[in-house]
Amino acid sequence: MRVLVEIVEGPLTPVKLQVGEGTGAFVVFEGVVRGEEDGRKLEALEYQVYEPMASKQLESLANEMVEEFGVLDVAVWHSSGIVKAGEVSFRLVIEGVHRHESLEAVGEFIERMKRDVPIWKQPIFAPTKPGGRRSRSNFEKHDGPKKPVRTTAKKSKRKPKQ
Amino acid sequence: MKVKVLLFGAEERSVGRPSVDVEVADSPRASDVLNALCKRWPELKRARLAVNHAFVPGDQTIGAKDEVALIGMVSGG
Repeated sequence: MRVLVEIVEGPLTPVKLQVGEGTGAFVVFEGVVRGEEDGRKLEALEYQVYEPMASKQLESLANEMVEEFGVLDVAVWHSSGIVKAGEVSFRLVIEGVHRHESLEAVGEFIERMKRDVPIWKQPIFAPTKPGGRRSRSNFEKHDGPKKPVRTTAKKSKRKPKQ
Repeated sequence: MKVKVLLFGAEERSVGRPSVDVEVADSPRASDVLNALCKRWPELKRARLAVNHAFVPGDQTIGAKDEVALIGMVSGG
């Protein structure tokens, strides 16, 4: 069982992934910030991540996928802070022996993440008029939890690099 | 005792600050803290409580040094 979790400040950059031994299905899902929401032009999303709980929850979800679906590897990266439209904010890589359990695990992981992982996003809309103000809601600074940081929960032996 | 509760996302914006203090009896359960929060801010009633970075059941006792956070509807991905 190999699990990797990372919270990354800003957008995710392209990553070189290596297929592991025994893998018959290599599934990569990337979440991209859309340039539109509810008919309004979206400039970016700002992600608020409650650490270390978010990383712990993601790691727990990854382990659940291994135990419940029998997949071999789970690697997940999620952005914190501002990610512009067109950029990648979430990447999930699941490797399994066969496609069926791998594809199923991808869908289930995302469903559970959207229910149980303390990450929130806030839209930053483009100005509606030239020179107008951006519609933006900044998250206030928390003095309690630590600031979002790059966190590696458990490194895969295959070491996919971000 | 006073319990500091961290707020995020919609709950943070609704209350207007990143944390609130609630006054509860000593050695409160998570449900006591939630009830005290919802009495003051009824819009928070759908959220769950996390203690020391893990979701907890309502009967979990909260200590003075515990980090308590209110986790509402999340929206990662």
